[in-house]
Amino acid sequence: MTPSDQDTEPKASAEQLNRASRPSVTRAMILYAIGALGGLGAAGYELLTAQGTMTRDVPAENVALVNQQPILRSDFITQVESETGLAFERTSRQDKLRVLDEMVDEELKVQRGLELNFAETDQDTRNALSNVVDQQMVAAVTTSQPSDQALTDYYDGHKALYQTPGAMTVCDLVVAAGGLNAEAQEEPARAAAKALRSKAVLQQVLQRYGLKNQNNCENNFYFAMKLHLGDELYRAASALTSGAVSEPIRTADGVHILLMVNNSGPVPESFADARGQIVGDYKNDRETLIKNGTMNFLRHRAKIRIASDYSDYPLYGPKP
Amino acid sequence: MLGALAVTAAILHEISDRRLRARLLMTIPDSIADDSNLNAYAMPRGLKAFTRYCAACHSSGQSDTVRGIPDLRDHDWLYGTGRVEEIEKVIRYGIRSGNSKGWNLASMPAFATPNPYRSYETASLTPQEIDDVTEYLYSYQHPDADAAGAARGKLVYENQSRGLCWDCHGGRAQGDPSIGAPNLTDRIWLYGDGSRRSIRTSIAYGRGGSCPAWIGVLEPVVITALAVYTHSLSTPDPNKVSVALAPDFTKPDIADRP
Repeated sequence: MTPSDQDTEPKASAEQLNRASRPSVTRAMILYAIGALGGLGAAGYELLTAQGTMTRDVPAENVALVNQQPILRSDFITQVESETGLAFERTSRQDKLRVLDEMVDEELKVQRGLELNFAETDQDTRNALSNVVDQQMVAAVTTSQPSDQALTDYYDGHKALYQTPGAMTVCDLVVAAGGLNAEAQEEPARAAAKALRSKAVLQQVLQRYGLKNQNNCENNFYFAMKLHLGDELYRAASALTSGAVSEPIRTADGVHILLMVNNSGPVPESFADARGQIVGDYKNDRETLIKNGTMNFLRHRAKIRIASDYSDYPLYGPKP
Repeated sequence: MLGALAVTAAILHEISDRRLRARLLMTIPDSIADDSNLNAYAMPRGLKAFTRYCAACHSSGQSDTVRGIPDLRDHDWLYGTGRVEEIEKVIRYGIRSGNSKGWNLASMPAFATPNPYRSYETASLTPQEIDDVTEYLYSYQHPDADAAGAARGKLVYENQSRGLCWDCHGGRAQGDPSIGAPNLTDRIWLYGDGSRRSIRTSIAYGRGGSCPAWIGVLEPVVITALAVYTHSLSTPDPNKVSVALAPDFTKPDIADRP
C-alpha cells in the first residue's frame, strides 16, 4: 500500500458516512405517506364502526338497525322465546324471521309515531311517557340498598310509625227489635251487659235476652274493625279493655252492646322486625323528594307562561 | 423497530379483541359457556364488572336474608331457571327497576294493612288467618307444626277470593319463576330464616326486592360477560376457565367451591 492510498482511503469512508447520515427526503416522504394513510384508515374504520354511528354493518349486539335505531339481540331472543314458548336455539328459522319482521314493523311504527308527534296528541302516549318519566326519576332510589346507618337514623326519627297493627276480638251483640222501640230495646241490652259482666255464658245471655251475635265475635285488626263496626261502635270498642262490656249503644240499626274478648293495642316494633317497612318508607320518602326536586328543576328550566286569569298559579311553590 | 412491533402487536390484539367481543355478542347466550374461547374472554370481564357493580348487594354471590338478597350460587332461581339468557335479561332490565322491560309482574302484598296491594284490590287477612297461613307454610319443613292451624291455613292459602296466595305461589306453594314467586316449601328463604316469626312478617307486611337495570349504563358486552360470570357461580365446572378472585372475594365459601 502506497502512502497516497493510505491518505485517500479514510477520505472515501468519511464521504460514505456523510451520505449515509444525510436525511433522505424520499424515504421521509414515504414514511409520512404511510403514516398519514394509516391514520386516515384508522379514523375511517372508527367512524364506520363506532357504536351509534355505524353505517356499514349492524353492531354485534344488535340484530337489526332500523333507520339507525337498534333492535337488541337480547330483546329479539326474549321476544322469540315469549312468542314460541321454546328456548331460542330450539325455535325454527322461520319463527325467528317472523318475529324479527314483527319487531322491525314495531320499530317502524314507533318511528312513524314520533314523526306524527303522538306525544303531543295521543293521550295514551302521553300517559305512558308521563309514567315512564316518573319511574326514571326515581329508578336509582327504587333499586338502591340504603345503608344500615341511614335506615337506623330513619327508624329513630319515625319510631311512632313502627308498631304492630292493633287487633281485637269483639262480640257485637244486637237486641232483636221484635216491634220494640229503641228505648224498650235498651232494657234487655242493659240487663245482658250486666249478666256478661258477671261472667255469664255468652250463649245463655243471647238466648235469655233475645240478642244476636251479629259478627260472631270477630277477631281482626283495628283498621278492619273500624270498617266493619262503623265509626260509632268502633269508638266505643276502642275504649274497652279485654273482658269489658260496653253500655248499650243506640245506632240506626238497633241497640248494641259490645263484649271485648281481647284487645291488643299496637306494640312498638324493633328495628330488626320493622326493617322491611323501614326500607319501603325510607325509599318512598326519598322518591318523593327526588320527584319534587326534579319537577322543580323542570319548571325552572322551562318557559312557562300562565294566562292572566290564572296568574296566581304558583309555578315554583307548593302545588295547589 | 421495536415501536413498530409494539404497534403491530397492539393492533393485532385489538382486532382479536373486537372479533371475540362480536362473537360473544352474537352467540346465543346459553351456548357461551360451551365455547372455551368465549368463556375465557367473558369470565374475567364478568368478574371485574360483578366486583364493581353487583358486589355492593350480592357480595360474592351469597344470600343476605335480612335484606332479601338471593344466593346466586345455588340452583334456586327466583326469576327463570338460571339460564344465561334469563340472567342477562335481569341484568339488562332489572327487577322492579322502573324499566318496563324488567321483571315487575307481582310483589308480595302486605296482608296486615288496610290496602295490601298497590296494583289491584285485595282484602286484608285477619290476624288468625295470617297465623294459620304461617302455620301452613311452616309445616312444610316442620312436621311438629300445629296440624289444625296448618289445615285452616291451607284453606286460606287456597281460597279463591281472599289472600289469593295460590295465584302467585302455585297450588302446591312451590312458586312460579315466571313471576318471581318463591317456592315456599323448601328450606331456602329469601327473607328471614323460615321461622314462624319471619314467615308471619312477610305475610303481614309484604315483600318486593329490586335490582337495577344496567342497560345504558354498562356496555352490551359487559352485560353479557356479567351474565356468563353470574351463571358460573351456580354451575362451577372444573373444565371451564377459572378466574382469579379479587382479594375481597377469596372467602373460602367461594374460592373453595368444588
